Amino acid sequence: MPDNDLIKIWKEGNMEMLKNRRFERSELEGFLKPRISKTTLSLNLNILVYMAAQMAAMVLIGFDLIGYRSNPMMLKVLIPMLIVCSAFLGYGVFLLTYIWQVNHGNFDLVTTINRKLKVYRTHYEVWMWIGAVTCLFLSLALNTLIDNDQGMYRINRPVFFVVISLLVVLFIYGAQKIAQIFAIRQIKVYLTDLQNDALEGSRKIEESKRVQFIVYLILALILTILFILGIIRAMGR
Amino acid sequence: MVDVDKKSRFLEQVEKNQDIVHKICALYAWTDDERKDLSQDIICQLWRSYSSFRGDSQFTTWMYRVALNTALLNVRRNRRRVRTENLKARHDDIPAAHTGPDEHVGIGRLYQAISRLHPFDRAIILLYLEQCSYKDIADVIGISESNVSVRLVRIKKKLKELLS
Repeated sequence: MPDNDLIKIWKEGNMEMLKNRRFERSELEGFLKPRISKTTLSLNLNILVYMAAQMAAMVLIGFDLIGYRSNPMMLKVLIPMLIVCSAFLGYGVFLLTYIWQVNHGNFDLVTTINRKLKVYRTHYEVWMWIGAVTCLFLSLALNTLIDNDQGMYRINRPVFFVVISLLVVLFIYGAQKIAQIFAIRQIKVYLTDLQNDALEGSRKIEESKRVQFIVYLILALILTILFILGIIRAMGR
Repeated sequence: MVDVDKKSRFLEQVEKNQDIVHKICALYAWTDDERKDLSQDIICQLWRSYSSFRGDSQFTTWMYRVALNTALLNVRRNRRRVRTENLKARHDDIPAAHTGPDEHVGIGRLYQAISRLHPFDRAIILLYLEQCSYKDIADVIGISESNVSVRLVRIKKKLKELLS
């Protein structure tokens, strides 16, 4: 079939087909109401929640700076915390702007895909670590504010304190990662497929959904049994 | 006042070129409901991005870019599509499974064949059939003109195989 025939079929066929498919002006106007995708909404919400936590931490650190103004050791800890918190907040603003630009920008397809992938592969990964550290800062700022003993704050076991703090950061990061692993993975796989000119990854994910469902079911069953056994054991004591 | 002018100018241009939206929806959405949903997403996105249109390119080129971005990058919808395509592959001999615009002989088969291409290839062949220049296709997709030419040869060959 010559190429011109394809164009002819396309042109004439569409003319006929689209004759009765016209949107009226009022319909088009109705379509202008903003609709935000769930993924964008949850991503933005996550960033905004952590930004609020960073601002709260900054306020608390501010109070701490006043409370510990005569303690040079605490100032050495609190001032860097404040600087790091402001940097995190700046990164949050940058990330929100970046996502807004990707969603509203006038980029070509390849650039949009690459930028979206960059959000999920790099920026959001960094943000999850930042979120975990933010939670630690927030709790630390709160603790130091509450336990301020006339400008003194005592850590009885410093090594234990550092280890627990690191574990808290790891735990929060891990919890976030697990909570979003499937949704984010699907987005990343689909975008990577588009980037690589394939659909294999997305197909595999769809095909593995049945297996995933069975794994979830078994896990839920085991946890329920353990929960019931725990209650029975507690009641027996 | 400026906003009202902007809005009515936008609506006028979209109304004039709405065929672009219908064609893209026919290629990237499976059912009537999905097509309507995608039309709404595209028009909404066009309006959100309208401020980025500075007139450097033609309005239609800009419209293709935003509309194709919206159609291709809706992960939820495209995941559903992969699922449907998997199902269709297993029941390939049932033409009724395709509820697309196949009521017109010729164009229906062409749409069906294009729908079986990779989403990216679909965008390239759509722009080619719309008689966009290689430069415009390269601008919308984000690849070089020579790459457009190479890919078009491959896509047309595959399309003809699907149609024969």
